[in-house]
Amino acid sequence: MDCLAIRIFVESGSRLIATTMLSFCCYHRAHAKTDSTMNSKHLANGFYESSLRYSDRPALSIDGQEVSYGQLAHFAQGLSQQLQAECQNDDVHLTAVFGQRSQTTYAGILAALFAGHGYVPLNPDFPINRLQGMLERSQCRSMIVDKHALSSLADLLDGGCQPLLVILPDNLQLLELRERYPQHLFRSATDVSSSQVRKPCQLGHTAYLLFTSGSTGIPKGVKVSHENVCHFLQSAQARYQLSYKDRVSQTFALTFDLSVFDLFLAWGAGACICVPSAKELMKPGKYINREQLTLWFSVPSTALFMKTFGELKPDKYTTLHWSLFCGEALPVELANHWSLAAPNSVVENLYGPTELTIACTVHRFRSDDRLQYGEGGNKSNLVPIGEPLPGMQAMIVDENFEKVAVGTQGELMMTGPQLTAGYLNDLEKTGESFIHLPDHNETYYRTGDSVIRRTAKAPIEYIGRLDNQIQINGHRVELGEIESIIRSVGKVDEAVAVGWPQTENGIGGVVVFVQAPKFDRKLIFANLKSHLPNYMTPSRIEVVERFPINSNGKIDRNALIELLAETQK
Amino acid sequence: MTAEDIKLFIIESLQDHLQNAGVDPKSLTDDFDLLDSGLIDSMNFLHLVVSIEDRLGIDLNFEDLSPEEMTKIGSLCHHVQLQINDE
Repeated sequence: MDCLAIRIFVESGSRLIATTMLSFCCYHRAHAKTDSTMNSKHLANGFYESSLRYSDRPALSIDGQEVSYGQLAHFAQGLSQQLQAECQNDDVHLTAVFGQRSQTTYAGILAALFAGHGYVPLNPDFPINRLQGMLERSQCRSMIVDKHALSSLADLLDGGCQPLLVILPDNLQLLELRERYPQHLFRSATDVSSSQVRKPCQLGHTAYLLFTSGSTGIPKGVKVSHENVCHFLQSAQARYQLSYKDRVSQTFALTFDLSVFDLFLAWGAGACICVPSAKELMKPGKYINREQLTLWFSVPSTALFMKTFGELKPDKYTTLHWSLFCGEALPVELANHWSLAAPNSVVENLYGPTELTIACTVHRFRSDDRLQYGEGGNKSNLVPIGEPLPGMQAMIVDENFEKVAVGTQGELMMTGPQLTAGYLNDLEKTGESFIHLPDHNETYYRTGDSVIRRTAKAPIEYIGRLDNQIQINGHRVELGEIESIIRSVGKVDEAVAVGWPQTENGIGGVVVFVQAPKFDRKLIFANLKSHLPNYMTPSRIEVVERFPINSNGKIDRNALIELLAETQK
Repeated sequence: MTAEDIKLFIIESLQDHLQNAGVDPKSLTDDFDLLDSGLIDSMNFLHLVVSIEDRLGIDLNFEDLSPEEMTKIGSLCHHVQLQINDE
């Protein structure tokens, strides 16, 4: 049975039988000759297996060239040996990977995992203060740096972090760094001795550590275990059935956990990940066809860009078999435009916070979803978030954590093998979000998302956030974090951030309101650069005489948004 | 509407960004890249395009413009002007 037949079979609705068939005829076939490493759960095992089986096939297409599994494995192995040689004590630790969208960064992630370390992606586009905080709080003792990050390295190290092993495969000029920072140990690629690729070290528990926006002004660290992520990847592979013939998009920043799907689902199947440049990502139509992508996965905003730039025309992307979206609400009309542009692909909407590992629910879009969920009445105009992935359980509750009746809106709580252990060194925040419910054995994660199941058989639909978190271009943004930083750098008593402008699929940016007669706009913006990444930086600051107050005596954010809408008219 | 008028409209639309970044609008030459310069991000660029469309009352088509050229002020203005002429 080929993959297309299986897809049709799955779509026909015989899910149980189909899944059983899938697991026998494909999953086991693909892994028939695996050794014991496949039984142990480790994020890099899939890549390792593929590097043995598909050594000459492409693992990575980047900057106009293809890198084979053999080459990438060899590069990663060399870096991994350096990590292992210099970090010989037994307690398992984390390695920062400072870079983006480069061969070194991808090899660096693999190297950390091969060495038995978890990886911590650091994005060179982020402000230095934010990066310094992440490096310090993660307690990384080693770091791999790519060419994009070289210019920010000195600023990062000037923050006075713990002694580090710093590996710079793209830089041979280490003398100056060694003199300037004697507390750190610097190594270049020439220090790497070539050797045979070895099975990943299975010591560590953590696969990766990511930071998400935190309402108090400090990003929250989420440690994701090999168990968490391998469970997800197994469900995803059973669903998407990738093979060595597939070419998978790599649209997500490495600091965004959806990138783990791109990399490791593809590598586990022997497929090639294709990395568009930042600009191609904004208008990727030509890229999709040039690279003959078979799986597309991005935030819905990218589809919105393509629609705006005239790239979502019918029958344009015929090589795609799968079109997946996650990270933001997916408007029904946008999904429909996409499915017409990529007529051979199945369009799916995935949902999941970092705390629940990549994605934990999924809905398959069908053209009649337009009637079901499209505009009109009390319909959301959004594609539902669907059903939990295998092993995951969803519960919709009211404010007392009591299950709500079908057809009633409530907060989505989830649990299952993808549930992470909580926030890094933050018991208070962990306690607020990872809840032990009475009469339930499992700990549930409070998603903060308001959802509804309209009938017992209907999929879960996303309604909105229950707090002040918004999504900008897929990035999770706590408005409280922006407010806290404006208060501190602007020395104002109160600042209120709102998501603005509102776009078809969410929010396009941030506007901040202050209630201060005098404040130094220039000073605030000059300081914000070192605290907030671009997507969180307010486009402007508005002064109001007095904040509007709602009936609960709280600042009325909706009234502020209305104010912006009126000004626009 | 000339390419120069379109440029003025872009500058007016990006006034907040220029002010926040301390960039003098006079320094915006044709090869100034709105994204590479860090002045705006892709999301802001999308809003800019939508506001140009709203202002002109036409749907712009960027299909033939490469991602590299699209965000340079000169080629963006030129492209928009060509489409106005086609209308």
